[in-house]
Amino acid sequence: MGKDARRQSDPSARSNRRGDVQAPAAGGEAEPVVVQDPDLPPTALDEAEDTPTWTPPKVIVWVLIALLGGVAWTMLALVRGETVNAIWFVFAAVCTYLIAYRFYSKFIERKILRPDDRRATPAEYNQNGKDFVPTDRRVLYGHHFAAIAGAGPLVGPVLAAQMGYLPGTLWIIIGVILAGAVQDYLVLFFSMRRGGRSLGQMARDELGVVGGTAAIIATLAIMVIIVAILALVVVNALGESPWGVFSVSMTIPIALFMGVYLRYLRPGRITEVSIIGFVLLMFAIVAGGWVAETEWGAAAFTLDRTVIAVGIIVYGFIAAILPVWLLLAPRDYLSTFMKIGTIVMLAGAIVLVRPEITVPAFSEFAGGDAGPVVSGSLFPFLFVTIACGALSGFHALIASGTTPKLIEKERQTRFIGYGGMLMESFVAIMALVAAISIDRGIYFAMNSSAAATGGTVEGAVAFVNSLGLAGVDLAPEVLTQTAANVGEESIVSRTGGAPTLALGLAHIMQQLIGGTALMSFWYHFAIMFEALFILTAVDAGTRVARFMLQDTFGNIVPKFRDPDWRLGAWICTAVMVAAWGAILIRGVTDPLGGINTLFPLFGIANQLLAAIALAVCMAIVAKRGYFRWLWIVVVPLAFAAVVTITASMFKIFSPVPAVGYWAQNAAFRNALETGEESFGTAPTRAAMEAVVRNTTVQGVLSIVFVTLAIIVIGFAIWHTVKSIRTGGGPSSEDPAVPSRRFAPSGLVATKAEKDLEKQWADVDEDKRPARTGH
Amino acid sequence: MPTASGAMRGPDGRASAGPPVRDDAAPLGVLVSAGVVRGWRAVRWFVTSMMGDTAYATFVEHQRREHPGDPVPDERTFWRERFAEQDRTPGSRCC
Repeated sequence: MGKDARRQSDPSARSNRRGDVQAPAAGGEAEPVVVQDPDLPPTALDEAEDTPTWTPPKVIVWVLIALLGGVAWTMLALVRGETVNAIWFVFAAVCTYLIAYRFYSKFIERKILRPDDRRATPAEYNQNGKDFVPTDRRVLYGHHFAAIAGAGPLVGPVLAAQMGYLPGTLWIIIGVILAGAVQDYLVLFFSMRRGGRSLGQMARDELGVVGGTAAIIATLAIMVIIVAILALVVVNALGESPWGVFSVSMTIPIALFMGVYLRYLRPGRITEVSIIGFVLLMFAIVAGGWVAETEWGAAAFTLDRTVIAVGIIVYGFIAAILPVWLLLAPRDYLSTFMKIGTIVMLAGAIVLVRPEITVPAFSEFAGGDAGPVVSGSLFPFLFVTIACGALSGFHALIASGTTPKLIEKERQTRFIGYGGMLMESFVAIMALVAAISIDRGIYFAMNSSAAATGGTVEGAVAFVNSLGLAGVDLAPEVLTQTAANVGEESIVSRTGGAPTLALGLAHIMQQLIGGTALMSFWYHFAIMFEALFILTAVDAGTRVARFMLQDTFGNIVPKFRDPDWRLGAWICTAVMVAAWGAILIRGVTDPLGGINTLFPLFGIANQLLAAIALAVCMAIVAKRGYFRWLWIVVVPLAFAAVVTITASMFKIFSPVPAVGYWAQNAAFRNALETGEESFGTAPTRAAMEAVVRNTTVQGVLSIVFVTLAIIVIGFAIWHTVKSIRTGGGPSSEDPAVPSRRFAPSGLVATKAEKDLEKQWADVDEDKRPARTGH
Repeated sequence: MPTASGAMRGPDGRASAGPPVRDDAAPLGVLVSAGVVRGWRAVRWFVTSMMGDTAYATFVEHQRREHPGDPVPDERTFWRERFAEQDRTPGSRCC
C-alpha cells in the first residue's frame, strides 16, 4: 500500500488531461506548440508587448541606481577612512541586486529557460486544492523565502567577518547574482516543468542510476552534517546561559499549546494562533531574565554544553516521531512569523541607526590561514564559510519540493526563484553588518574557541591582545560590562556565530529602542529566534532524512516504504538522530574547539549539494540544446566545484594541522605514541584520543562528500558532452498542457499585464480560474 | 465609504488586484480612511494567505468548481487530513 500511496501523490505519474498539444519537446530547440482555448483571453503576453521600451524616465532611474551602487561600492572597496558607514552596505547590495535582477536574470530567462506562459504549470493542471494550488506570486514569494531562509545566512557571514568586511561582502553579493540565485531559479524552473519532481528524482532522470544514486546518498550525508552543525550552533549559544536555556525551552510548551489550539479549539486560525504564540514567546524571553536572576532558576537552567547537546538529541528524536500537528507545524508557523518580522525590523534599524563600522576591509587574517574563528586561507575557505546567502545547495531541495507545485505562471519563477534568493543574500549582508558593528576585540573574544582563551576573561584578553590586531586593545572591563549588559555570565568564547549576531543586533536595536536597559532583551530575542529556526531545521531535517532512509531500506525490505508502519519510521529516525547526534557530541566535546574545525565541513557539504544541483541543471540545459549559453551554468558550477574540491583537498591533504584533518590526526597520534601527557590544546591523554577520533570522522566525511560530488559532476559532464555531440537530448519534461489563466510575472504588474488582467476580469465567473488567497 | 471593498478586491478575494478606484470628488478624510482600510486589507490578505489560514477556503472553492456534488469535509477534518499527509511525506526546511 505504501508504495502505491506514494506513487499516487507522485505528479510524474499522472495522465495528460487537456492534451491539445501538437508536438512534444523532442530535445534541441524544438518547443511544443500549445493551442489555447479561443473563448478565453490570451494566457500570455505577446513577445512584442513584453519587450521593454526604454523611455527617458526609465533610463534615468536605472542610471541613478547604477550611480548610487557605484558610489556605495567605491565607499566600501576603495575609500580607506577610519570608519565606513553601514548604510553603504545596504546601498551597494540593493543597487547590485536590482541591476542583476533586471538584466542578468532576464538574460537567463531569455537565453536558457524560455518560460512559456501559454503552458499550464503543475499547480494548474494538477490542481487539487491542497498541495497543488496556483498561488498569488507575492504570497508565494513570502512562502518560498520563509522556506529557504534560516540560520545559515545569519551564521556564516559572522564567522567570515574575521577576514575583514570586504571579502565577505564581495562574495555574498557577487556570489548570489552569478551562482546562488541562478541555481535557485534554474532548479525551480526545471522542477516546475517536471510536475514538481525532487532534485534526487531529476538527478536520476538526467544522470542515470549511478549518478542519481550518488546524488541521493550525498544529499542524505549532507543533511546529517548540516543538522549536526546547526545543532552545535544552538548548543554553543545556550551553554552556561540560564536565560537562553529557559526561554528556548519555553518554545516547546508554547508550540504544544498552539498545536492543541489549532487542532481542537480553532482549526485553521493560523495567524491568530501565531500572534498568541508570539506574545507568549515575548513573555518567555522577559521571564527568562527573571528566572535567571533567581537562585533556583540559575541552578536549574545553567547547563553544561554536553547536557544541552544530549537534551537536543533526545528532543530531536521525540520531535521527529511526534505527529506534525503537535510540535513541528506550530513551531514552523511561529518561526515564519518571527523570521519575516525580525528581518524587516533589522533592515529598518540598520537604515535608521546607520552604525559606523571600524572593522578594516581586509583584516590581518585575510592573507594567512591562522584565523582563530575558522582556520584556513581566504581561498577557498571564505567561500565555504559563507554558503547560505551566496550559494546554498540546500535551496535546491526547497526549489524542487513545495514551491514548484504552487507556481501560478511559468514566468513567475524568475521573481520567486531568483528574487527570493536575492532577499536571502540581503539577510546575509545584514548579519555581516550586525557582526562588524561590534568592537573587534569583543568579536575575537567571543569567537575564539575556549581552547585558545581558556574560557576566562583574563585568558580572552591576553589571547586577543596577542593577536596583534591593529587598533585593538581589549580591556577586561569591556568584556565583563558587555556580558552584564546582555544579561549573561560571560561572553568569552561564545562561538558559533549566533551569540555574536545577537550582540550585534542588540547593539543596533538598543540605539533605536530602549538603550542599554533593553540590550539584554534584544540579545535573548535574537538568540531565541535563531534557536527557533535551527530547532525547526533539526526537526524537519531529521524527518526528511528518515524519509529518504526509509525509501533506501525499502529497496531491501519493502515494508520500510509503508509510511504507516510506525516501528519502521522509529528505527529510521533513531538511525538518523544517532548519526547527527554523534557528530554533535564530538563537536561539543572537541578539545580543539568544535565549531572552528566543523564549520568548514558544513559549508563544504552545502556547496557540494549546490554543485550537484548545478550539475543536474547543466545536463538539462545541454539536453535542451542551448550550448552557446551553457556558461551561465558552467561558471557557477566550475566555481563551486573548484572551491569545494579544493577545500576538501586541503581538509584531507594539508600538512598544516589546523587546516588538514589528517595532519591533525597524525600529529596527535604521534604524540600519543611517544607517550606525551598533553599536546596542543588537549590537556589530557583522553582529550588527545578524542582529537584522534574526531579528526578521523571529519576526515572520512570529507572524503565521502568529495567522492560523491565528483561522481555526480563527472556523470553530468559526460551527459552534457553527449548532448553537445548529438545536438541535444530527449526532454524529461512533462508534456505541455495549455494554460487557462493569466497573472503578471513580477512584483508589480506592467501596463500590458494590467490590460490583460482587465480582459480576464470580464470573463464569466465559471470560466475564470480558481486560485488561492480568499 | 464610497470606495468599498468590492472595487478593490476581485471576486476571488484578492486584494490589490489593481489600482484603487479613486473618487476624486470625495473629501480628503474619506480618501485617507479608504486608503487605511485598503492597506489593512492588503496586509491581512498577504499574511493570512502566506501563513495558510485560507487553505480550507481554497480547498472548498476547488471542490465546488472541479468536483461539484462531492462531499466536502468540514474544516476540522480537512486540517487533520492535511497534517496526516505532512506526517507521511515530510518537507524540508532550510538552514
